[in-house]
Amino acid sequence: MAKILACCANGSGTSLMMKLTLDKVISTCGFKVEEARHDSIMEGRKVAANYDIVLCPLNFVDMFADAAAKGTKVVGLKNVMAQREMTEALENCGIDLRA
Amino acid sequence: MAGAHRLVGAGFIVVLHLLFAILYNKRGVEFTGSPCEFAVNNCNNTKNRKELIMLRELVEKKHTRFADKAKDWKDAIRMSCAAFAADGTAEEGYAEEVIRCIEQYGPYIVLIPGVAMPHSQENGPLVHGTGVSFMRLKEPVCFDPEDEDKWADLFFAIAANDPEAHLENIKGLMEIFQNEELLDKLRAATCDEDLLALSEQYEV
Repeated sequence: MAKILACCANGSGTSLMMKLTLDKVISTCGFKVEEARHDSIMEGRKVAANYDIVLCPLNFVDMFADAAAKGTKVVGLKNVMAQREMTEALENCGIDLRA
Repeated sequence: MAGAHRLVGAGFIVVLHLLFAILYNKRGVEFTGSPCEFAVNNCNNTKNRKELIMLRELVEKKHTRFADKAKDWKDAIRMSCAAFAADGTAEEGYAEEVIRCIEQYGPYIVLIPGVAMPHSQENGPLVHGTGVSFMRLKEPVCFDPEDEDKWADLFFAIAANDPEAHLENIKGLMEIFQNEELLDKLRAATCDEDLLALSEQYEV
């Protein structure tokens, strides 16, 4: 089961919206997720390598290069509220979320 | 005498019942059961109905602004946060904090082309309340000349120090942001009455 972290600058606005959208996506698609939470980029970077997937706005993807190097899938989103975009991105991230 | 006491007691319960019914019916909540049951079931009355009608609340709190233009994106941020300083939701420095965040991280607050949600850290030292503040500009501002998506004419600034209220605000905003038709109508709005009409039409 996957662990997913949603991050944005402050951990309070955009990342919360991402987390709410993620909850809907998980429920609609029946993804098996052990943990899904949101945090600021600064805090998230410290623990990102412990997560299977990190979700963030597109322009923040580079900030998780360290975690990506260790195998975490860093998924950048253009629209953090768009369920379809998030679903497609998660389906294609390289981790089978239905396993 | 015992009979009279019982009568007074029963009368008191009836009056209490009526008071609760009037009080809570005014708030649009159905009052059923005994006053005690009702109090226990409804002391955190957030699930009985959709509590937050965002646009109406913004008008009631005087957190609305209609302006033709802003000098630049920084000025737009300051204008959109001014209502927070006016009623103490956040200090004047909050807008500068948001500007600093954007300078550091880029215009992450522009969620979709046209819509900005200025915000900084939750529970920061400059924040003393939880709220949303709306501003509509006639002329959009550009946040990044190299990114054609980073422009905005609708601003929903947020400040938060209460996680539950903040979550409700975020959910309410998401409902608005995902309705393109409503966003276009907000662009055409010129006054609070327009917002109230939209609030009633779209139940947001």
